[in-house]
Amino acid sequence: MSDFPRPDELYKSIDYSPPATGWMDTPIKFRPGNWCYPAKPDVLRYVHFPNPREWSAEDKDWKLPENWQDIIHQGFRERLKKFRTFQVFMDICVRCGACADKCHYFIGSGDPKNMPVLRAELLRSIYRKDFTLAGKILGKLNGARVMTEDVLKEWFMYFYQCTECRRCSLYCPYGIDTAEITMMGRELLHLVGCNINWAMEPVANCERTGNHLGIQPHAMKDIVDFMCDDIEEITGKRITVPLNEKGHEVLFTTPSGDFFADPGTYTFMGYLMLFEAIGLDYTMSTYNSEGGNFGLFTSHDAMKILNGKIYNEAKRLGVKWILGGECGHMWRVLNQYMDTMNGPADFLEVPKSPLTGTVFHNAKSTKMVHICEFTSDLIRHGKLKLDKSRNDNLRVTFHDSCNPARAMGLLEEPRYVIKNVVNNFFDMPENTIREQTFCCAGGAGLGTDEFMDMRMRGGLPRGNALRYVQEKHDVNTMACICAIDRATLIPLADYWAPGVQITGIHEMVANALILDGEKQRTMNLRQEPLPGFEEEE
Amino acid sequence: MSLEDKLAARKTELVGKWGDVILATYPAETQKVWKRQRDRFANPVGVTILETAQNLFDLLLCWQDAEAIANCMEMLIKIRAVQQFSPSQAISFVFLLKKLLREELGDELRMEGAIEELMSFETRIDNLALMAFDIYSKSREQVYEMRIKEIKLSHRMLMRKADMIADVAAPTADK
Amino acid sequence: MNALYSLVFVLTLVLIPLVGVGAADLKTIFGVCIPSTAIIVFVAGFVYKIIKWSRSAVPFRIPTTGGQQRPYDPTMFKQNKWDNPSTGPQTVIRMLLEVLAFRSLFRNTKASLHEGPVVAYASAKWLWLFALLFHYSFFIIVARHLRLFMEPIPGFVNALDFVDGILQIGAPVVYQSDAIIILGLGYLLGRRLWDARIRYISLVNDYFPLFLIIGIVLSGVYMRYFAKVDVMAIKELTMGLVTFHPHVPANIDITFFIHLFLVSVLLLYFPFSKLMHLGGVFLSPTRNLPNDTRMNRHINPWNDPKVHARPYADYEDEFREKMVNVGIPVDKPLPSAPAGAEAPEKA
Repeated sequence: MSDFPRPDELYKSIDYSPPATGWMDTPIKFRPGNWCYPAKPDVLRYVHFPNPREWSAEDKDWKLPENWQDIIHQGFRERLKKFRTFQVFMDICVRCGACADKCHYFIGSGDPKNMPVLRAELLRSIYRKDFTLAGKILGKLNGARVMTEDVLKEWFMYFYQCTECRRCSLYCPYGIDTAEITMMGRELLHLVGCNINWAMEPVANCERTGNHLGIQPHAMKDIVDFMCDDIEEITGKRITVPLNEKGHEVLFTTPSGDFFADPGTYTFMGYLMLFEAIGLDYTMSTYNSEGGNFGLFTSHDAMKILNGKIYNEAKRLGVKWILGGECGHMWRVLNQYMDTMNGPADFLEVPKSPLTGTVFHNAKSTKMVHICEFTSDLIRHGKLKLDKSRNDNLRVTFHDSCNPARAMGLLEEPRYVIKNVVNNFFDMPENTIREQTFCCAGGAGLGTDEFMDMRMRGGLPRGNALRYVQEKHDVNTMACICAIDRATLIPLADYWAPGVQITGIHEMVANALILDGEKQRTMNLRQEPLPGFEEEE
Repeated sequence: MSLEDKLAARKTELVGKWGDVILATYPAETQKVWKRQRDRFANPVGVTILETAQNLFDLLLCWQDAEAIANCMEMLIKIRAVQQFSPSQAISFVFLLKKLLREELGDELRMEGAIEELMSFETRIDNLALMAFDIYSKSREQVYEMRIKEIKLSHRMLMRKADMIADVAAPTADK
Repeated sequence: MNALYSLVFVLTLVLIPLVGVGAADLKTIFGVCIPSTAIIVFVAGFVYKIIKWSRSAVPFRIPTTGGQQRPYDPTMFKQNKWDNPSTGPQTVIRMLLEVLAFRSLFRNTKASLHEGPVVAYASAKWLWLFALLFHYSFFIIVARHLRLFMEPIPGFVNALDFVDGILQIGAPVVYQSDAIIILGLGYLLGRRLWDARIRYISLVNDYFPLFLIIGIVLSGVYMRYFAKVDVMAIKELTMGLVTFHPHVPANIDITFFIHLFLVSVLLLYFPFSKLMHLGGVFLSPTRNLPNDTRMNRHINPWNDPKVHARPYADYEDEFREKMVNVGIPVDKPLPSAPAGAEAPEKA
């Protein structure tokens, strides 16, 4: 017995405080749940990305190309010239710390390297060493360090623990945008073949088939038919959906997640029912069945390649303008990149609602309108027959998706639509919504299941605010306008605020919407009984 | 003065110290942020730690409602279950109370010859640990369930397309 | 540790003129050569940096939007013009608010539902407040110094002088800006030293300029309020510098040389450090561009036409048969003669 320490000695020896080393000297540890699986070699070969190979972040040897340091250095230099954001953000940070506690991953994990300022310092330390005189001479004193394999691993860890949500950028006195830093970091990592599968495989699939799961066109058609079946069962009306047809007025583009994934499918059915109700002259396309853009999480080139399909198809089909569905990253690309990358869209006309005559001047160059803008305009002109009471079982809050909020400013339009289709709406606390919204922690290619632990950490701030309105207002539904949200918020709510379901706005619109000649509805789009019909089943 | 009375009298102090040692399981610079920022939306972890320590302490003293105790611990354990902790580290916060009480009251009670009282009180903490273990396991299971559910949801239409789902819920007769 | 290095370094810098002027009597070097070199390096370095920044391309227009966008119909929703500008003038206002009022830093302070003491929010507000105090008093002090470089002294400098000393405390009159800058510097240094989070991210290049500016301020304060140096002699020297007739009068206090030397170091250091945020804040693409990309096409100077989407024709070639089978329209029909289609399968 004397070999064993006495219990109180044992207790006294418990010490979980980490060593108090500076951040450059604190090693990182890959363990299940804090990193995403690397891209499969076949996927990289298909999109012609360098260094395809089998590897794992937990391996010691990452099988980098021999001259990888040189590759990174050259890539760094090139991007400093190509992006003023990058060059300026490398120089002007004063480390004031305003961003430090704004990142959802820091708030949930407590890992200091998830403070945005340190995420950027990962690149800045190399910048100082390679590109500034002071850094070359003073080295570590000046916050500079040499590019080693450990630094590269740190990059991989932390640039794939950032969802490019831009919340920190909002509070930065110089507008330093960590999303931009992360995009540069990821581009550099691509040069030596360090990337994640959940970003790269969708990129390859979207390029080849037009959607992120690689579904071929005939299967897409079947899936749309299934939805029409369901709509018929619910409303008694059979509708047809034009695919790849020429000569229509509008091309409708939405993220492909809405074709396959619940509850996005219900939102998709919502779009179809809305278009049926107003008799919109539209078509969809299997060629650009993915509006969401996984290229945004990959590289500027990949973003351009995937985005190009939208204008290509609009031109080929001869439409007048384009309507875009509920999607976060898609709208960042559409609002801030599309026209620059693949425009000018001079073959299209300035969007004009065929029902209300409203001209969307704010989209006069890209010719693309957000469905929330479109629907809010319809509602304002009384073009929709709505029965709000069908949504009376819902007590709704709204999650502002990062990109429509901080890369566009689409804040009031979705709220207007929600308030017109449901009776019970409650916003979450002010510092967690609108431009200050918290990320779902699964954006930017991180919404994959092996990353669930980290996603739950990063999802805590959102979940916590949700739980608050759940307790205070009995909220049971969180609406969102993003396909990634519709996937990632489900586990987030299940874990942090059990009992709250996730929905797209147009699912609720369609539930309230009265179609001409429909039968009396007894169930909602999920085929659950509507309020008042619970007994009849 | 019974041990319970002593604990109740020093509640604020002991709860504060317990909160501090729980916070001490996080990096030093994180502790400072989490201690200072009291906004529950900007700092959910720090606020949860302090609230849990406070409420749990009361519940331990009256030791009546097991369900309330479990509910009280749930949020903190859920948080620690997905953070970068091993399972033992995740629920260590319970044992930290044991350590704290021995340090704070051990000598005094030994002198009074009442150390037995502390030891019997500690069985409550042991029970707390077992409950914490249950909640922790449940949370981890939930994480894996969510991973499965997510994959199922993201492919539902495809499964349907591939004719892999026999949808028993849908009425087949009238089709 | 980083703080200590910086402090030692600044103290060493103080010693240099002490030895140089005090012991070696190198007044011309410290009074003329070093300051003029510093000014030249400062100007050249500043211009170089700005040119370097502006030569980096702005391929995309990616402002961070902090409020409601310009809606399709202004009567429908109210645009937040200052936080989400859509025109040039609105963007100018956003920049002015940013540069003159530190609007983004102020965001930190937005009130919200919270529990616990209200103090929790004050720290965030203090950063904004003290940063503002520091920068404005720094600016006023620099402007006041213009009196040493101009003859006659412009009216606004005299006016500034008067306002800055309006409380009429002490003789010579205490400038409020002197007191405020010391307060501001004390706070900025204090939070780096005592706030663990900030200490963790602070580098030598964060402490060094702080200590340097503190050194400059203290030497200046000492000259004015304690040593009561001969300002006319100093003005003789400074006027000599700006009129390119360098001349060092005899009766200048050693403190002045320390002050001048530290200022020279600051000027030398400025363009190569984070202090360039003075220039950079104007060039930050997430703030200085309007959110108007759906209205006006932004041009990317290096847009590469060779990078493009997979053409539709390619796609149709791969999937044509499957598309035709389910009735999706195609551009090119399937190769006719179903009999012919069967034949290759057998072959």
